Parts: sequence; C-alpha cells; structure tokens
Amino acid sequence: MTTPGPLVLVVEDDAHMRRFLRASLTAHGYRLVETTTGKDALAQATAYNPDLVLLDLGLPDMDGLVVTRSLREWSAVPIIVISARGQEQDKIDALDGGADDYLTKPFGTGELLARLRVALRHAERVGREPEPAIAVGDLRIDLAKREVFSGDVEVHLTPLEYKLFAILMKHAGKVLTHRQLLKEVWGPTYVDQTQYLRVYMVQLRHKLERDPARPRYLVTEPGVGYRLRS
Amino acid sequence: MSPGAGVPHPVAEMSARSIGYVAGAAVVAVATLVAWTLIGQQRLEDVVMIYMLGIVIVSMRFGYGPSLVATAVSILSFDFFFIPPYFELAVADVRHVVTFGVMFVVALVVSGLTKRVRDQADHARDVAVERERLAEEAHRARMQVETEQLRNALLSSVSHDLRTPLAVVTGAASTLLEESLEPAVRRELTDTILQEADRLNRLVQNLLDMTRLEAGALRVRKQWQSLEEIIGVALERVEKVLGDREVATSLPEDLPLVPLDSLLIEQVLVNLLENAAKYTPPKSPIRIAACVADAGVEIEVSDRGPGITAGQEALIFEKFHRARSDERGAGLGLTICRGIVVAHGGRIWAESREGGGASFRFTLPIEGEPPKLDAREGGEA
Repeated sequence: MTTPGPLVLVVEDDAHMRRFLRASLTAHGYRLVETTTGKDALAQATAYNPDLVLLDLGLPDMDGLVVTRSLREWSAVPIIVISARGQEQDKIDALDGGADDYLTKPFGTGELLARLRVALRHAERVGREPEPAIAVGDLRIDLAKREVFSGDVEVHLTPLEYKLFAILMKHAGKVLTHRQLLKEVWGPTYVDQTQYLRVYMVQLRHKLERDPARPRYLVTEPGVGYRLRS
Repeated sequence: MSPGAGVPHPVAEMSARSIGYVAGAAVVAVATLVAWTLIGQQRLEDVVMIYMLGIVIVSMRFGYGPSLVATAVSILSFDFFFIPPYFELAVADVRHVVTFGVMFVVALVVSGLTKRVRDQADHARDVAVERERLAEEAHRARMQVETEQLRNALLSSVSHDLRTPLAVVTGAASTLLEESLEPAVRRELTDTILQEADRLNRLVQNLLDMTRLEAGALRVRKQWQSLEEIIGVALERVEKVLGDREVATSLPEDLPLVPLDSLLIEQVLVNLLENAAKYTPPKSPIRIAACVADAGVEIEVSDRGPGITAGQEALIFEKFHRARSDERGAGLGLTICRGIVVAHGGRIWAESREGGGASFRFTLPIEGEPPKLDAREGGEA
C-alpha cells in the first residue's frame, strides 16, 4: 500500500488557475484542499494541517503577506507564494515574512513541481542532523573539511565567499532574499548593502561556473534574491 | 490701443486724442519760435519749410486729426507772424494766399499719406496676430489628430498582435480536444500553444511598458548592479527564443558595478536579444559586449543578420516601426528600449556592422561610487 502523497492547501481565487493546479498536482500524486479566500485558508490550515501551502498573493479578501505571517505564528509549514511579474516587493515581503519560495505568473508545470519538491525536501530535513556534505550537479561542498569542489577540482574560496556559497548550498533549490543572505553572511547591520552581495556573487560565478554570464547553478532571481539551482 | 484689447476705455481714448491735438499745437508753436529766431521775416520760403516740417512730424506722430489742426494753426501763425501786416490775420499781398493754399494742400497730402502708412501698419499687425492664432489652432488640431491616429494605430496593432497568437491557441486547443490524434501531433500542437502563450506574455509586457512610458509613469529605481548578472538573467528569459544559436559574451574582468534599475535594463536586453533572434537566420550568432566608456558603460548587442537599411538607423526606434510588413510584434520593442535608456540618462543607437549584421549600442552613466566594501574579509569564516 503506497503512502498517500503530500497534502497541499491551494489558496487561489481564480477558477481556471485552480483547475490547472489541480490537474497538474494530482497527476503527480499530490492531494489537494482548495480554498478561495485568505480567511478560509487560515481555517483550513488549522483543520487539515497540510504538508505545504500554495498561496496566491492576489487574493480578494486578505493581503497574502498577512496570511503568511498568520500561518507562521503557529506553523512551520512550507509556503509557496504565487505572484505576478512586476510585483517584486510583494514577493520579497512574503519571503522575508516567512514564505519559503515563490512562483511568477505565468508559470509552467515544470517550475511548479520543482518548487514543491524543493520546499518539501527542505521541510523534511528540519530537525534532522545537518548533512556534512552537499552535492548539486558538479558542485560539492564538504562542510566538515570546509572544502569546495567543482567536478574533481578543488576551488579555493575566501572566507566570505565560502560562507555565501555554503548557505546557498544548504538551501539548494530554494530562493534566498538579498536581506536573508546579507544577514546570514555579513550580519544584521548589512541588510541594505546589496552591492556586497552582487560583487560576491560575481566572484563566486567566476570561480565556480563554466560561463559566468550564463550561470547554471548560481542563479539570479531578479529583484528578489538568489537561488542555487538544483 | 493694443491689438485684441477689446473695447477701449472711452476716457482714456479721449485724453489720448486730446494729447495729440495739444501736442500738435505745441509743435507749431515751437516751429514758429524756431523760424522767428533763426530765420526772421525775410526768407519766407525757409519759414514755410519749418512749418511743413512741423506738420509732417505731427502727422507721423499724432495722427490725421491733429495734423489737420496743426496745418490750420501753422497757416494762421505764418500769416500772423511772418506776413505783412504783421501781427494781424489780414493779408496784404494776394500772392501769399496762394502760398497758404499750397501749404494747405501739401500738408493735407502728407497727412493723408502718413495716415495711410499708419493704417497699413495697424492692419498688417492685426493680420499677423490673427494668422498666429490660426496657426496655433491648426497646430493643436493637428496634434489631436496625430494622437488619435497613434491611438488607433496602437489599438489596431494590439488587436492584430493579440488576436493572431490567440487564434493559434484556439485552433490548436480545439484540435487537441478531438479524440483521434497521433501522439506526435498532440505534442506538436501543445508545444505550439506554449510558444504562443510565451509570445503573448512578452507582448503584454511590452504594452505595459509602453503605456507606462507614455504616461510618464516609468519609475527608475537605481541600485548598484552587475552587468554580467543582468545579462545572465536576460539570456535566461529569452532562452527559448534564442534556440540553439551561439551567443558570445565579452565582458571585461574589471567591469564596475553600474547604478541601474535591474528589471528595466533586463527588459532592454530582452528586447534587443529578441529582435536579434527575430531578424536573423536561426543559427546566426549573437554577441553581447560591454566596456567602460567615458563616465559610464557601453553595452552592445550585435548580430550577423541582414543589418539595418541605410538611412533607417534612427527611424527604427520610432513607435510602430516594423522592418518588414509581415513582422509580428507591435514594433514597440526599440521604442521601449530608448525610453528606458533615456530615463537612465544614457543614449541608444544602431548601426550596421562591417561584414554584415546590426549592432545596437546603449550607454549607462555611472555617477558616484558604490559604498566601499569592508577591507576585512573576516568574521568567523
């Protein structure tokens, strides 16, 4: 008897959008609970305790950010927000407010499923022993020995470069906002100094990517942050 | 009276006229004085000239009425002071009456002539004013017509460019609903729907950008950004459109951070890359380069396609310009690029390349310096 797939709470007011999500997610083994308002979402989250919440930020009744924050008050459930292009600030606010990742409309099935997979994988790892080494494609980081490899070649990183790379690898596949990265790597007083981040990301790409101008792993999420693509 | 001033103030006008008459009389008095002191009663022909001069002055400066009055007063003064019996208005020699007559006629003619000149000048001024007003009205009307035309062009262009991919999507989707289709055909139709949706997405973005540009609502939020990063994002966005053609990037190692709005400059690069892909053969290479150039950076997107028709280098940036009539897309891409680059304080231009192809370049100014990075590379690492 196969274990039932993860339960996803879909908070989406557009009927056709819901139809697409339903079709795509059920085809890949997910179970769904659907709601159309923020208020309802909070109630359903309490009732069903889903494994993941898919939340459209353009809800008619409540600000998606408020829903995110309310959920975070009592739950660590992974939240993926859906927004439109040009609404970068909404996404940043949601991510800094506790959401785990985001999707920009219009998006395809591939992207949707990838985000879900990553979010669930990271949620599953919480509370477990942190892994001593992480590998993504050609890149490998050994957190115990503090070594970084691209293929078989060891790459030397400066302490801050290493710190930045490590946090990206630990959250492989997930987006990290400028603010989150700056806070983790440089400290809380540096959260507005995005130029640091840019310079160091450029440096990392030059050391780890075959074509730094067309990165395969160290991906820019425009207006929002960075992601180590898994 | 100022042109177009409406109904003149009656009292003001009256006093203006009175001044003319009074001044006219004063001029005659002055002429008499001058004639008396400088010439005396002996050379009458010279005295006549003085009075005539006075009348001409009055007619030129004060108008017809005052000049007629001045004429009469001049003749009387002439008679009184210079014709025997002196200090009497009687005339001893009849020949002097002829002199008076000639004086009067000449004075009348001169007054008449100057009046005509003044009238013509007034008329010409009124005509000029009227013409200017009409020209302004015509200009305004023309602007309105042009705006109408542009709006209509935009609407019909949007209508066509949205409807065409939608027609494809409708056609493909309705075909897919049919039962008996080969899997390969299904796949192809579904892929077509995806591609057309992608195209629609880009068109909508262009329309939104164009609307913001036109409304002056384009807000540029500059942050220190890496060009390499922005180029990377743009290349990712147009990956599908580029296909499997070769894209070479040439960026110097020490390229500085540039203050720019990342979303907007991404859009510029996306539009330029899309154009390059659209106008060149599917395997033709595209090149992106950047370099430091006086107080800023210069970015170039170039291809090996047909290049730009000579003389059209500036025209292609105009709204709705299309290089080919069968081309899809509203012809807004380059206009948007220009709007964004100009809003950043830069400039954009195009030229044909040696050896074939087109080269699009734009500059972005660098003002100031990014806040310095800490010298320390420390903290617990």
